[in-house]
Amino acid sequence: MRLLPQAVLLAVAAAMAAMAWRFPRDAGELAGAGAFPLALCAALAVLAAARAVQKAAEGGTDPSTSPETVPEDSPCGGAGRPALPSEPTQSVVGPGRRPGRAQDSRDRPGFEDVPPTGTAGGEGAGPSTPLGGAWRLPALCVAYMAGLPWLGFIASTALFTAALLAAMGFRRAGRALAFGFALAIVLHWVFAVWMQVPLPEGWPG
Amino acid sequence: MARMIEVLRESAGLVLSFDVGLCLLLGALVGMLVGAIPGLTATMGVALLTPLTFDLKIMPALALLVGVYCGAIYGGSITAILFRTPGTPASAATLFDGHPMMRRGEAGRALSIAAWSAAAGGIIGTLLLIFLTPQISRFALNFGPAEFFAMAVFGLSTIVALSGESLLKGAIAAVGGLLLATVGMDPVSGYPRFILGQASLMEGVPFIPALIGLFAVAEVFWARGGGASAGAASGVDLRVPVFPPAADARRCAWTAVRSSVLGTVVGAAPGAGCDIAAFLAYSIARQRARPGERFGEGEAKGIAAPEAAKSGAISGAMIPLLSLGIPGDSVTAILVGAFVLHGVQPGPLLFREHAPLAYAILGIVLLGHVAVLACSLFTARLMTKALRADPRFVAAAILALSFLGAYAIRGQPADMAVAFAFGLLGVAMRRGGYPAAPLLLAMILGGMAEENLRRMLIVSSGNAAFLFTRPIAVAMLLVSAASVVAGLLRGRRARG
Repeated sequence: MRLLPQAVLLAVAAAMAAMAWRFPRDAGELAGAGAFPLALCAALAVLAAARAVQKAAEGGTDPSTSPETVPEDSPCGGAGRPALPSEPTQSVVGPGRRPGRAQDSRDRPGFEDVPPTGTAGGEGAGPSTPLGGAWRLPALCVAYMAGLPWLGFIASTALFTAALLAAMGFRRAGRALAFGFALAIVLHWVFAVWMQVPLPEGWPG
Repeated sequence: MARMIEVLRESAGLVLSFDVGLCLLLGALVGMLVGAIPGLTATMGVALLTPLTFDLKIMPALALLVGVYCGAIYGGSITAILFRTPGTPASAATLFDGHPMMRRGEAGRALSIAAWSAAAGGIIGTLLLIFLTPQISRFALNFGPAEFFAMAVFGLSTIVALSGESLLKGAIAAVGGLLLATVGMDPVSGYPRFILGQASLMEGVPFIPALIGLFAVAEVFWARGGGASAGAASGVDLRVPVFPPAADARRCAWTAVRSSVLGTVVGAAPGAGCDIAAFLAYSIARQRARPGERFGEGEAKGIAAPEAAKSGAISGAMIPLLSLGIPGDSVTAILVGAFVLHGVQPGPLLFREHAPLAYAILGIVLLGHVAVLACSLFTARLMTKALRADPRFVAAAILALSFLGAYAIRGQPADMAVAFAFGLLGVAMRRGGYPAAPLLLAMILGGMAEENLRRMLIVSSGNAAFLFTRPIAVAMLLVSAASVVAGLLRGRRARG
């Protein structure tokens, strides 16, 4: 489990190398489409292996007793992840962050369990965490992307914003919705009317 | 000499008018707004305002467009510093130190340093533009594949400095970025690589959605309920000093000057714009860090360097534009169109036959940076007030805006998924302690490195030794090698 990130990196390197191997290699030119990616895959694999070795060595001498010195990739137990040294003030907890009241997971069952993977590859495998609401915001984002074409920009963005606020512990539904609609209308005006970027209209039009 | 003074007096008459000043300020304000919103780019801003200038006279029209250009390049840094949400790719380099400084409660100081460095970069760049245009354009146009390849290698060599505590992690992030840069159509043969059947990846991993994901989305996910500016809601010094503290000014002056010159030269090379200039300047400043300067944790020089370089690059981009009529990037390409619309034909003849007009345009560029400085200092109070808002509302708005911005760049729904995936990647990288800067730098430079290496090999029919017949390229490669060795030695000394 501790070497999961390195394993993911190795798997990505292997998969991309397998794809790059099949790119056409023109006889006439020196470096075909696959040469540069193949070299990079090899480099990535070597570096990931080196990191795994380094980590194994660190783990052998120092069995992850001091979270300050080893800000490592492992999901650090259930009870709150230690702040990274590079983000000293990160541990400040927002005012309204309370457990429970996972509105989105009630509204949209199923999203909690599905690790959302984007089209850009398997990078999403990293941040799994035992903390309860960690997937709440990402799950809402997936729901938003799925709902946008049907609901249209204004309605879906307003609902999305309100749901985000609820997920972050803001209790007043009316205010959240009002903020959502205000934001959506302003953004719609800036992007669609002023900058003339076509936004999905959906059935509300 | 007398003729020169005559020309300058005539240009001053063209520039110094109420209309021009008003248009500059208006353009700068609009530009800053456009730049601050992720998904709206300087290109879009200039393109959209061009039709509005039809009815204006030539000088106010150019002032409006140049103002938008300068403002948009600067505006992204405000949100980068305050919310870790860079509005433009170039301003991503500012957040590495700007945002930590804001977190320490020094938002005003960070904004002030950024605004003054940007103005310094723009003014130095414009002065170089006025006096050295022929020399710089000759130098920059000498850039062939070998030089661009060497420049990319030089940029990548600075990863040693950008990696922070673990060089290995930095290298992994950089190779990952280089691999991401190979996605899409092969620059030489046109073969689609790693697109997984997605037509939207043909042009490569879309950079701005990736950037939005890596910073804005990841920031919200990371801070979760705490909101994007958790820890900043109280105890932030919201006062924005009109002048940066004297200590900062002294500390950053040399860095800003050096970065301005670097930015101007990089901006003048066609195909290398503000983002490359900002990242190069940042990594060089970081490489030259003295002991005690903690880059990545809110070092003033880490704000000054990229800000100065990217405004310098604006002026730099004007060099081939005005002297040769060659636009260096998409914004300047639109500017050429606007110039032509108003009857100005950029090119070698511009300075010879319409000297007053040409120098008036340079004057407008100079004043454009001043207008941005004025607007940024004027609006900074207002901007920092946003930090007082409930962080949950800020977080929700940033997330909504991130997805909208990712979508709006190309009108591609798939780009929202890219932003989302990069958001998760950003969280994973932060948790693992992997630095984001090498990944971004590699994504920016990867395509340039590969394309030019292979072009060079084709031009020289496979003879890699061709590289050594190009003095500029060799010099850049030697400097890169030296900087890698120096960085490694320094790292060893710091550890041992």
